[in-house]
Amino acid sequence: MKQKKWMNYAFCLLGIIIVCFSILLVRENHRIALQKEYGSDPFVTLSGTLKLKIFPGPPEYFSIENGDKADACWVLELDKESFILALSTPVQELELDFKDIIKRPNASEIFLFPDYNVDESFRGKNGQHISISGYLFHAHTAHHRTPMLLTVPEHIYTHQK
Amino acid sequence: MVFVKAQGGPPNVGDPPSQFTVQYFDKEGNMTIRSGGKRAWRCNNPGNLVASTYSKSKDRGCIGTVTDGSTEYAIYPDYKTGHEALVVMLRGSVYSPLTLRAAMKKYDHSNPQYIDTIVKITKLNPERTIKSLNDEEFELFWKAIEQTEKWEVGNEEFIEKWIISGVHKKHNVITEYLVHKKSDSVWVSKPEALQLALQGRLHAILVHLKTGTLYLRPEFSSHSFVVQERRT
Repeated sequence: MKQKKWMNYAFCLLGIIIVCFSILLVRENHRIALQKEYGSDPFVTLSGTLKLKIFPGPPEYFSIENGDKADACWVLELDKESFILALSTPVQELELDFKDIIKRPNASEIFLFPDYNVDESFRGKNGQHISISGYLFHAHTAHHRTPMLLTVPEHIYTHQK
Repeated sequence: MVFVKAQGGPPNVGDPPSQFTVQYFDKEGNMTIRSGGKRAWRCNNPGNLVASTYSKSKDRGCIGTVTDGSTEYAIYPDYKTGHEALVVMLRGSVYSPLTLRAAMKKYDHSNPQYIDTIVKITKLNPERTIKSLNDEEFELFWKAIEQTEKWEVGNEEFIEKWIISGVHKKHNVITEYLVHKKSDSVWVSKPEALQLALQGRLHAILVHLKTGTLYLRPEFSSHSFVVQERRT
C-alpha cells in the first residue's frame, strides 16, 4: 500500500518534470524563432505621434522631383521621454554615434518598420498619439531614412488614443 | 593607386545634390574625382552602407564620409575594402542569425520585392538563416545583394598635385614658381601659383597675412624653395 503511494508520488513528479521541460522547450523554440526573425535587437515601447510621410525611394533615394519613386512610410514623432529612451538604449554592433543621431534633422522621428499586414491597422491612426512596442535598431544602409528604426511585429503591436 | 583619404565634393553642374562627387587622395596628395555612375561605385561602397560606428571603424578601413544633405555614407579606398565591410556585417551578430527573408527586410524595408530578387538570382530558400549558408551559397547571396544595390561605373578624373621645384626672385621677393609636373616643368607667375594652391593643386601652404597679402611656403618637413638664377 505504502509502495503504491510512493509510486503515485513518483508519477506525479515525473509528470511535473515533463510539463516543465515541455514549457521550456516551447519557450526556447519561440526564442529561436524570434531570433531568426528579429535577431538580438532590444525590445522597447515608445510613444509619440504617428505620421505617414513621403520619402524619396529608388533609384537614388534623394529627391522625388529628380525622378526618385515616392515611398509612403510610417514614422513616429517621439515624445521627449521616448526619444531619450531610444537614444539611451544600446543596440548591437551596427550603431550610430549619439552625435550623428542628434545632428540629423529628423533625429526625433523613428521609422516604423511594420510587418506588412500591420500596415493596414496604422491607416486609421494617422496623426494620433500612440504607444508602440518593437525591436529597435540604428540606420546602417542607404535605405534607412531615419537614424533610428523600430521593427513592429504584429503580435505585439499596441496603441492608445 | 592607393587612396588614403576621401571626402565629398560638389555635384557636377546640372546634376542633383544626390549626385555628389567623391574626391579621393593618394599619399602624394594627387586627387581622383569620381562623378556619375551609381553612389555605390562613387563611394567604393557596394553595400551602400551609411556612416556608422561599424562602417567608419578603422577595422573596416573607411577613409572618409560624404553626405547628400540628409544621409552620410561611408567611403572606402577600393571595392575590396567596401565589399569586406558588407560581408563582415552580413556575417556579424546582427544579420547572421536572421533568415534571408528577415535580413533583406531589415536591409531595405521599403522594398518587399528585394527578397524575391535575391531568391530569383540565388535560388536559395528564403527561410534559411545566413549562418546556415556555406561559403559558396554565401557568395551567391552577397553577389546578389551587390547586384541589386547596383554598381555602375561613371567618370573618373585624375588631378595631379605638383611640386614647386624652384622660384625666381626679384628684389628678394618671389615673382615666379617653377611647377614640376609629371611630364615637364613650367614657370608660372605668383598669382597663377596662388590660384593653383587655392585649388589644392600644389604641394605648398597658402599663407594669409592679416594685411591681406597671400604667399606660399613649403609644406611642413619639406625643404625651402630653391632660388634659381634667371636665364638671360
